[in-house]
Amino acid sequence: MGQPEGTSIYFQIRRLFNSPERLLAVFFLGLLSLLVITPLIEIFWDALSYQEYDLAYRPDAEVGGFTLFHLERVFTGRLSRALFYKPLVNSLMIGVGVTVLAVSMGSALAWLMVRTDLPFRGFFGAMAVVPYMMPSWVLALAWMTMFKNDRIGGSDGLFTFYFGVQPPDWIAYGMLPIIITLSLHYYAYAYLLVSGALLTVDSELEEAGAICGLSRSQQLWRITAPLLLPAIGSAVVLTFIRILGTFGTPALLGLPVRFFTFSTQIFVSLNAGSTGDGYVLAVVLVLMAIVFIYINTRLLGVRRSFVTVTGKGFRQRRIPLGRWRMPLAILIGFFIVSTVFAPLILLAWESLLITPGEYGLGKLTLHFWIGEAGEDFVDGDAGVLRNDQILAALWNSLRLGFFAAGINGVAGLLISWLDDVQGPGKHCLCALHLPLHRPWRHLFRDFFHQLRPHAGALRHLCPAGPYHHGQEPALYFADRNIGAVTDR
Amino acid sequence: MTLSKTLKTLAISAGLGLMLGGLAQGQMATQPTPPPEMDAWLKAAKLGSYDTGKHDWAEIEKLAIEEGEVIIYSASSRMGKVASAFMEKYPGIKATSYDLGSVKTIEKTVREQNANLFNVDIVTTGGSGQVIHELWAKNRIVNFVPDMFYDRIPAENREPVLIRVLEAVVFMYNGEAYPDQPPVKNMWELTEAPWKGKVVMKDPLQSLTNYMGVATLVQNADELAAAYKRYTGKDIVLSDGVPDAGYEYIYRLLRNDLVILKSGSKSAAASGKPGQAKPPTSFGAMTYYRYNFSRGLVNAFYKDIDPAAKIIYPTYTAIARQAPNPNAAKLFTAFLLGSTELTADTKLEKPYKEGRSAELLLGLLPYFEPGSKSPRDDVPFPEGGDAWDAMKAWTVDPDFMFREGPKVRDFWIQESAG
Repeated sequence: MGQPEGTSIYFQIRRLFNSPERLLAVFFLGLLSLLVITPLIEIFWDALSYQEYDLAYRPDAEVGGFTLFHLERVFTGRLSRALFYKPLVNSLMIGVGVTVLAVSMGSALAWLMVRTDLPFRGFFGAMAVVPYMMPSWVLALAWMTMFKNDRIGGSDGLFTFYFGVQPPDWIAYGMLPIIITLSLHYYAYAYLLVSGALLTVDSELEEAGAICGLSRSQQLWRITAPLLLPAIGSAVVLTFIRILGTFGTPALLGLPVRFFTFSTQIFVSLNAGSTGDGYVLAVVLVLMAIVFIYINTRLLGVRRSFVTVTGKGFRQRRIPLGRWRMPLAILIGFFIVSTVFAPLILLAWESLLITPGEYGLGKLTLHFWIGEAGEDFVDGDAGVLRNDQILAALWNSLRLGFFAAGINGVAGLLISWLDDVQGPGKHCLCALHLPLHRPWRHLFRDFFHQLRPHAGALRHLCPAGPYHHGQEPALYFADRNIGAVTDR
Repeated sequence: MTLSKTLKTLAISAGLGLMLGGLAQGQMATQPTPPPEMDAWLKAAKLGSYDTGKHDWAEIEKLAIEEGEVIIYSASSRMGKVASAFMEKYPGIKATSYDLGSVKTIEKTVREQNANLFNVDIVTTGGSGQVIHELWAKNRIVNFVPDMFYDRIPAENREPVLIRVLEAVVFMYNGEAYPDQPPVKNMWELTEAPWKGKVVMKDPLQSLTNYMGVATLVQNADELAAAYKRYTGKDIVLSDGVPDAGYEYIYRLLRNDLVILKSGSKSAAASGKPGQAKPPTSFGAMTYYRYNFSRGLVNAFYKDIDPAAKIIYPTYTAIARQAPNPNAAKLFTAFLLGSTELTADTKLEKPYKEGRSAELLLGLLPYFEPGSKSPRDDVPFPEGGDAWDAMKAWTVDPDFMFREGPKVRDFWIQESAG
């Protein structure tokens, strides 16, 4: 007590300047508020006001005036089933399916790589994250190339080309292929998070269990698995949220059988100019994400991994797989081939075909890669390696990727560090992890149109927009992983 | 004021009121008075009300070269080729075309201008309802018709906004599987069992072109009802909750397991790929017929299908509000319309992209193919393109699109979800 008020404020400000982490926190709070809260306000505003498009129904309405019209349309109107309920159910089913499949695959793979004497671990480990580096729809395209049937007409898929049988619709399109191809992409979350956590598990704990008479599988389920729970929980939430927002794969594989998901419905609404409906749906998606993140932190606490209290000496003993060693290696090898090499080879092969659907070796060309412009071929366009527009776009993508990754990485690292050192205000920062959500990108784009006064090459690339494979989980992801590292 | 005068005034104001009311009812678009900063730009650029209809092209070219640049937002990827050809003719002017698709072209223009950003010179896109009602009627674009073409372009192709190219949505079938005649003669046949799962189209919710096509089917409900009667001999019975024969046609197509695709070229390939035992019929842009020449497809048009064989939709071109390079934009607009030396009697030789043909066609060149038509009435058809005149047409109506389009879309969303 007893300090005069002026001194107190002065003291507080000095304290602020003396602790760089507080300054940083204020900075990021400001930055993320700008990036997260401003678009959020815009989303709500558009969702709750008349848009140009609504004039067809309400000719007397004033564009921009307050209304609950979009809420009615999405939740109770005759369109609600098509706009909201059916896509929601489809999305949830895909979300659950993919999460179960991807997290089990990823966790199993992580355990095999980190804790067993599986052969070729180095190679497998390097390959296992490759699918995640490719856009998720690459697998969907590869699936199409393989299994498309005559429902969508045109050229045959490889399967039909070689076996003469048309795969049924449920194999070629819709729920099943969407779940499979997305799982083969998103198992990487679980794989990375769980292998990170596994590295922190001390083998001595398992040995202690063994001494107390636990069998090997009991050690796994009673000691190792519970220690991994936070990582698995994060993987579940991350995968599930990501799947709810995923667009490319459901759009490619779902449309031919009219299988719509939440994200394709949002895209369609925004694309068709009825932004009101689209933003109502987007808000629902964001709320769902918040709920899942909340459940995750409630269930598992805010810590990202448990700290096991052990004495000195940390070691990891690899569990011998015995006679399962080779069969498992072959299985993993097959898995890597089918998720990494097969899609790439299929697409590369497809890029050489003169006529789609004719896979014979005599009918290949390099035109699409290195052909000159002007031939009566592909509308006279040059091959991609000679095409100035495509090369310019590539250069833009590289720059965009470089800067986005750089900013994401640095910001993620700093925020994560702040998470650890900072006391009050921490929860505000947590809430600002929101931009991992897809609809946000659309908003960011709009927002930056208004923010950036000058024309620039990068801005012109943006319109390709909402359906590109994005970086948005990176901030969150980097934060989590670095968290795991700093905890150790 | 005498009584008669008062009555007259009253009558006139009543008449005016009725007229204005009528305009509001039909949502006819008009262009409002430009705000001062736009007016100043119009004056400097000699556009809008300062456009006398007489253009000094030597002066425009000189100013355009001083500007040195022209930025185009376009819904067509081929506009990049036009830009390259333009730069060959005018090496001092850098032409950059951003291929945005129709939805994004309009959205980007609107959002940038809302944020007081005036980056673009030329906006060229389809999407009739929005171009007229959201761009032109909101002073976001200005119409400009180069004087030398004024008399060569029919009024409906230059007012209220200049049309750059006319294209059409059509039904196409596989000409190899059905060499003698098309497999159906009436649109309603496609809603019946033999065509279940055998009609494909690009998703109209992702393609403004097909959206306009579908909406124009609905617009012509009466003709569709008449065609139904010609085909079955009976009056059509509408399904529950379906308002008219236009919507009924969409309803039955969807109920007949219409296949919806993500891309227009895939839809064209679905019907046109050779060697198919039971190829589907596709509904989409007529210009995909060009793949018959470049990708070996065997598509054919339903030239006589009842009640109409093609739905014409325009692609507009206009100068953007407060464009930074208005003179380069004028020059580019003229380039888009081809050479003045081109006439109806000109014989153009394949390959069109070389020699004299290319010099005459200029900006028309990439669009000189079956399924497209210049807005000028004095440009000959390319080889295979004369089917255009023989096919009965419906034309996309911007006002219907704006007034009814969203309802058609909602109907589609509702019924396609099954």
